[in-house]
Amino acid sequence: MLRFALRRVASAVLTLLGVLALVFGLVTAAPGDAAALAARAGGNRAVAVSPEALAAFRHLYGLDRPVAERFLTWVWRAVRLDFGRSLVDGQPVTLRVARALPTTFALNLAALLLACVIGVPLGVAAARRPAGRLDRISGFLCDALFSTPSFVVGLVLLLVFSGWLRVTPLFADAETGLRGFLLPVVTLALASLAFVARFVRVCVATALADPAALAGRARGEGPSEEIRRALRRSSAPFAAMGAALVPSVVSGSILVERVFSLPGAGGLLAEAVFARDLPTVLALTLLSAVVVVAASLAADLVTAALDPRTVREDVPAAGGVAA
Amino acid sequence: MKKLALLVLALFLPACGVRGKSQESVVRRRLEGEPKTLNPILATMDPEQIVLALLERNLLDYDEKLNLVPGLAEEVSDSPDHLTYTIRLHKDARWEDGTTVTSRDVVFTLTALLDPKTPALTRRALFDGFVKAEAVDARTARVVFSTAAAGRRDAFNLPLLSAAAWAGADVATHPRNRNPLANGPYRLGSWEAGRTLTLVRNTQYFGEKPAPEQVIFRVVPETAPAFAALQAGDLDEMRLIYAQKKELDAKAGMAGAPRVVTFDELAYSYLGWNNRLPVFADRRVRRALTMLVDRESIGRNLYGGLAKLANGPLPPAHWAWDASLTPWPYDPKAAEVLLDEAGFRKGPDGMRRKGNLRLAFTLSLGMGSDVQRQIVELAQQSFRKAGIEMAIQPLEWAAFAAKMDAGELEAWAAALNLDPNPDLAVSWHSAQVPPVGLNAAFYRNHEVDVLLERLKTTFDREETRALLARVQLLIHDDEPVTFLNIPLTKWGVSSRLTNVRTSPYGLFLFWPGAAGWRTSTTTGPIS
Amino acid sequence: MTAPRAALSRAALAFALFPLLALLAPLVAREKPWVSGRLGETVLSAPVPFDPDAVDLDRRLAPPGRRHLFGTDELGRDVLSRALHGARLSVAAGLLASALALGLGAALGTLAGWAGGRTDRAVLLFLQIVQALPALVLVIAGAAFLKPSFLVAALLIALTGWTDSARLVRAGTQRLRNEAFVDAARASGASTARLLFVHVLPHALPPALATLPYVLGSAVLTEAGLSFLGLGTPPPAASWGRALAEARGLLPGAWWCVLPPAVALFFLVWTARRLGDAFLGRRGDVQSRLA
Repeated sequence: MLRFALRRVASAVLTLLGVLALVFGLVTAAPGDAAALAARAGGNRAVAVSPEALAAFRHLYGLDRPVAERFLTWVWRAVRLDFGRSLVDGQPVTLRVARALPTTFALNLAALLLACVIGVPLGVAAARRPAGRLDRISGFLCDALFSTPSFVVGLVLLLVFSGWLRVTPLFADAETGLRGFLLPVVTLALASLAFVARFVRVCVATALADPAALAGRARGEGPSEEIRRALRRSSAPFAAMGAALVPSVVSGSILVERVFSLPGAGGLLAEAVFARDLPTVLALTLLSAVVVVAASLAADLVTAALDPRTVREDVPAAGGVAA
Repeated sequence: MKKLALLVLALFLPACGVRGKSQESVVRRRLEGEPKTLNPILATMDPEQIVLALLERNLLDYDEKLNLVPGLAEEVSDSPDHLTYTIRLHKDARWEDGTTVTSRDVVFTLTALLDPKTPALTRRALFDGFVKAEAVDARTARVVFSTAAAGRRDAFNLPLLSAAAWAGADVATHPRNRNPLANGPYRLGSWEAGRTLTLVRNTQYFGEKPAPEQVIFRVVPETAPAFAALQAGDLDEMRLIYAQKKELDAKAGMAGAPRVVTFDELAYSYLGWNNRLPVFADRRVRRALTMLVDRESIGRNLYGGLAKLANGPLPPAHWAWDASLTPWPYDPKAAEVLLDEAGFRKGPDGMRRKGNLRLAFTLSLGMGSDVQRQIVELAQQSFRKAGIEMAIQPLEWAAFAAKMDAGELEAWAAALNLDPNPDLAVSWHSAQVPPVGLNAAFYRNHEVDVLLERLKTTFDREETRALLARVQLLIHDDEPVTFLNIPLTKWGVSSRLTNVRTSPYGLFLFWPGAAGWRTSTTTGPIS
Repeated sequence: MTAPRAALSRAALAFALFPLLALLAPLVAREKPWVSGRLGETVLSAPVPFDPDAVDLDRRLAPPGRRHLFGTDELGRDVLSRALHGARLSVAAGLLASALALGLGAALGTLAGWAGGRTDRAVLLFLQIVQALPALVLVIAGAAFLKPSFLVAALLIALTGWTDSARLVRAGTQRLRNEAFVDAARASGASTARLLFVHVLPHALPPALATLPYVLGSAVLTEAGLSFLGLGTPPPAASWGRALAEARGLLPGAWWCVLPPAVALFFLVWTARRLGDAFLGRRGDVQSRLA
């Protein structure tokens, strides 16, 4: 157990360092830097800024130091939870991230839950009768939803419900409370609904076509028992899919954020990358790496704990009947 | 099932329509992005300037016609040698906490601005040759320069930092940067990060009090939701795109429909050519390129008729613009003749070449507006017909800027916003080529260089006008870049707002700008 | 039991329509007539007689009508002609990217799940790094060093998109490694390759296959995003993703610019998904018969 834990911690640290070094290197290698962008006043104004002034700016933020030194300095500070200040507005990065993250986190988590609440039963129902009417209709609708870009879905929802019917607010803020989040959550959920529903459908259908399921039927299991077992047998792919989907709660969806005027982490990350604001990019990357690692670990633990086949005595029983 | 849906809808209904108590005295405005700072000397981006225009007066402000008029300073006078400027502050000018605006604040601001540790790159550039700033008495400050410069007075379109409020910590990271001390008609009431900034009337303001009690700025990055909000009355103003303008035009006259305000700005769009490259070295080629772009049709179709043709480096909204220069016509036949004359002849494949040199290049497109991209795609088709091969390379903004600063762009599309008295040398003097300056076209004309240098020390307005006319003519003849259009800026304004005035600097960045707005139910100023 | 097989062929045929459409686009949608008279007059024009890039500003944003069946876009280009030509780019980039993503994911996932131990940890490390890496960072850096093309775009999409299928295949392989029937096959002397391809992958792959249509759809949309950032195909290429992205500023007014690429994308995803379902259904059928 201790060995397992140690290995996992080591792997986590390596992941974090690896992704951070990679991001640091890539952003540094990309053309353009924060100083030149600051000199352009964010637009097209024709003001000449002397090379000396640019050099002073770079010196001020340590942009003139060697890359390796800058990276190690950053890591050393980050270990002590000092993530530095943004090159865009001089604000502490922690503060900027803390402002953007709750919105994105809540929004994406709620959307993911909503997609699962609708998608899982839908997928299961479709799986019971592959190529049946429900399977075909739900598949058609899901594909249509998936193929409509989320900014179109979001915009249409916004224009209809907030602009025309006036039942939801156009903008979400403290005043409008949760109602303001209704449409963005629905928009995001609709985007991932197809994915969840069809994935569950295939996993459960596969499990139902499994020899083990046939054996169960032979033992006289009822339909609900059959589904329960099929779901249980699919726990490994479900956990893996969870590990693939959950990290989106940090990175968010920039277009949906924009359509609903929500200041989220997706927008912050894009802005920071475009502005070559390394401290902010690194902090957000670190965060998302932590979530990825945690989700990986959780998925592996769930697979180990839930899949009956990993429990030794179940395996010969199921396999034996099938054979 | 239907009943259920109605029930669900009804749940949301009551809370809508409920608004603050005094709607009449609140103006709801749109910001396209969130201000990064409200430190007036660090602010550069539009959203920052727009908010600050209501919070802070400048020493001198631009009026509607872009003349410098008194602001915080009653007067800024210069010595005969134009090296010493004396600032006389308004006697009633006060900060929102009731303290007086003093010469100490002026000295503090200039010291902070010129400190290399302050990342105020663009504003500092206006103070080239600064020697010192000193307080003469509480209301008088003196600023000394080592060189005389014609555009110097424009540098005093300068906001101030309160020495008391900003002292004691690094200006770049000061907590006050998100909570500035105001001396203008409004002060910052609250700032909900990423969403809204609420401004309330500043009771200590020394000038005429603004009519609306509150101004609520909301960050709305996308234009479609903003437009829905404008029509629903949740926003009172926003920049329009052409389709939205058309929609509002169709509703004109209907009760409560927002109205459209249009105006000329100090800006133009252009296609840049790197004159250093052999393909662009001959001005006949550059003229031909211009004559292949149907700017009339672009103005008519892409800008809905709301654009003028650019004829040179100054737009019509500038006081010294030369109206007598005729823009190069759209004339593909004449252009082909010019290309033939320049030695670029059509080969058997229909493509032009001069010896081994093919008339082919790559145009870089920074992530600009949709219209800009459309113009480029249009030009590409037109060029192809004339035997010119133009590839389009979209670039992300920072990469585009980096390539431009390094002088690596072959050709590019851009728009330029000018200051009221722009220093043309920055863009057109042969010494200002990258990496030093912004002459990314590598334009080189000795006479233009001489004129631009003389302009720097020419203080007489009529003499300046004459010199600028000559510069415009020379640049027009050389056509170092293809000057495209000057699109009219289009704004949607709620019907309940009155006294909305415009200037070539937009709706906000002049005095009184948005500070002079009234809501239809509030009558006149309160003093 | 021939129904699943018939369904599979039908689904495959429907899906093949798109590559076919892509191949035929230059013939179907072009200004040059199919048959010209001696004097250059048109005897038989192409069904969609417009080049995809031919601009006509005076006819911009024309709604669907007799001349332009699906209307024109912001530069007066025929929307239908552009959607047809866009199929070439979008289908090619999408298929290539999703096939690469699945291939890479399946290979690494099987490797990790089967070998376990140190190999598994190494693959997982790599996978986590790729998953946590903001794709935008990769793209802006890549734009500096790579020449934009649809190949680069497809590679980049595959490079960031393989992690999901790798996770799924890894989880499946891990589970199957210790299954009784795999043990039995191993005991009867089956080679590792046979174990993997006959006993493990057919069970471990379906969940990953289920995501493939959506990976394909995302790849088509992502290609457009890349082309705006300087990778992917530059303008005036008419890929569906680009048409959708550019139409963002035109909504809700010029809906006809959005419709053809969106519907085309939908049919691509839909037929791909039905093909996947039919394939998995047929396999399930074979299996239950064997059992």
